[in-house]
Amino acid sequence: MGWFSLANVDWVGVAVATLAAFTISYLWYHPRALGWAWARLADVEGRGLVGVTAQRVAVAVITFALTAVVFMVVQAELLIVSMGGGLAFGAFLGVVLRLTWEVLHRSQEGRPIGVGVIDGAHDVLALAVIGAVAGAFL
Amino acid sequence: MEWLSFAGVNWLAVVIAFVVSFAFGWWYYSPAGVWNVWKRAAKISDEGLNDTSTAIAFGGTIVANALGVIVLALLMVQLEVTSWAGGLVLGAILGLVYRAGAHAIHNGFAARSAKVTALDGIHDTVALALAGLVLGLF
Repeated sequence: MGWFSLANVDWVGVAVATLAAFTISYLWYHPRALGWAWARLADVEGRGLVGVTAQRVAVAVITFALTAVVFMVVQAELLIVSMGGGLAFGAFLGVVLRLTWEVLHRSQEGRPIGVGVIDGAHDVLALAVIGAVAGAFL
Repeated sequence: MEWLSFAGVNWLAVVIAFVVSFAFGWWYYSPAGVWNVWKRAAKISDEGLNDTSTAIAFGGTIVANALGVIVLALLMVQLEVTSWAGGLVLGAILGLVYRAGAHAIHNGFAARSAKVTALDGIHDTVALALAGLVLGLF
């Protein structure tokens, strides 16, 4: 666990990364963006869009914040200390650990792969932004 | 992009870690594991499963698992994680934050059962932790 040190974590950077990722999510799933397409494919009849509860928002914020902390710790160790480097690193992890698995789980469930693609692409973008912010603050 | 270097990756270990991770998933989503509970929680009918493209579901599992194990191996080399315990922890952190976190966000907004989130999140976390354990042994 020599790599895991919170000493390099910039907590303002974590807050900014969390806010940035959440803003991107809001815009991505907004009805004027991909919201209705996602709701139709996910068969949630718009509940997922209009039924945004405090609990769901809290889960998203906590997840984004934890993700930002892990990015800061790992990027500090790997010396990824620029916005561009963080962007590339985040996008890379997003494609490998999120996009592929989102498509995989949806296909296994017999659900439209489009849901996995929309969710996975969102994750790639969100992780890329978190990585970029982490790189900027390191 | 200096972190994107596969020098030092033990490919035999990657193959074994992939097999172990894949075998765990096979058992986990089998009737001997959580299959029946998961199927009920995900509200999946046998008809829906029959519609699922086997090539995508099976091939996707292989590709997603393999990519996840390769990236884990790459990060272990770059972060100088050389013990089975260290690999286990790194794999678990990546699985928990990147994979289970994604389930929590997406399933939450899709108003899906929390049980599905928990079952899928546990699978992804344990699968990557096992892969890290095996990689650390080498």
